[in-house]
Amino acid sequence: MDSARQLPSAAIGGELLLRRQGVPAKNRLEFDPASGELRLRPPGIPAPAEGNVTVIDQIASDGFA
Amino acid sequence: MDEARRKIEETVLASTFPGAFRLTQDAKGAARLEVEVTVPGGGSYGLLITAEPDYPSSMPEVYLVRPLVLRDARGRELLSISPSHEMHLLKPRNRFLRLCHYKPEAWHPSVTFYKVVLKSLLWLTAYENHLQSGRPITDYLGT
Repeated sequence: MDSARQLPSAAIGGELLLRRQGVPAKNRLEFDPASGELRLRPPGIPAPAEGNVTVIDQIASDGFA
Repeated sequence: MDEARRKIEETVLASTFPGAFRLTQDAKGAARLEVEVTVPGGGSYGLLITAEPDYPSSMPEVYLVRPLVLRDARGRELLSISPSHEMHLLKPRNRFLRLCHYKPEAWHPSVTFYKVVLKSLLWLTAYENHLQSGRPITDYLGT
């Protein structure tokens, strides 16, 4: 895919693909109520103290049915 | 859903999807949650989550109500290929797409509507990636 045309969600999709292929997670997957959107946060960068950010790595990895 | 549980659900949703949801119940206690969600840089979607009166003992169902028509990367209407394991779609009802979310064995009464909405948001993010890559949704979310 042409990186110039990548959607912002493509980074999340790429991360999910890698995890499914057994590659350890590079980033935390979070939901940010302030924006109402999912996002990735690099390791070592803490979530803001305010804002009710929810880490959803477990929700993403426990399967769908 | 009893009154105490409803208050918990409303409190959580009010702090996470402020102004973007409506939770109602009928006389028997069956619940309907309508919520608007957005995929980063992508589309906005309307979800309808329905729950029987015995929720949270029973698992709710998730429907996509906006947009009415969703197509896969090959241009096929998702309704026409439902149910689909590789797209994580269950048998539709009332012409609405029905999304997979929790596995029955993973369901627990402590799981709230909020987490079901987050699961659905993951499905929608995987769907938008599918449109770009052509990969099945199971590639992103697992089997």
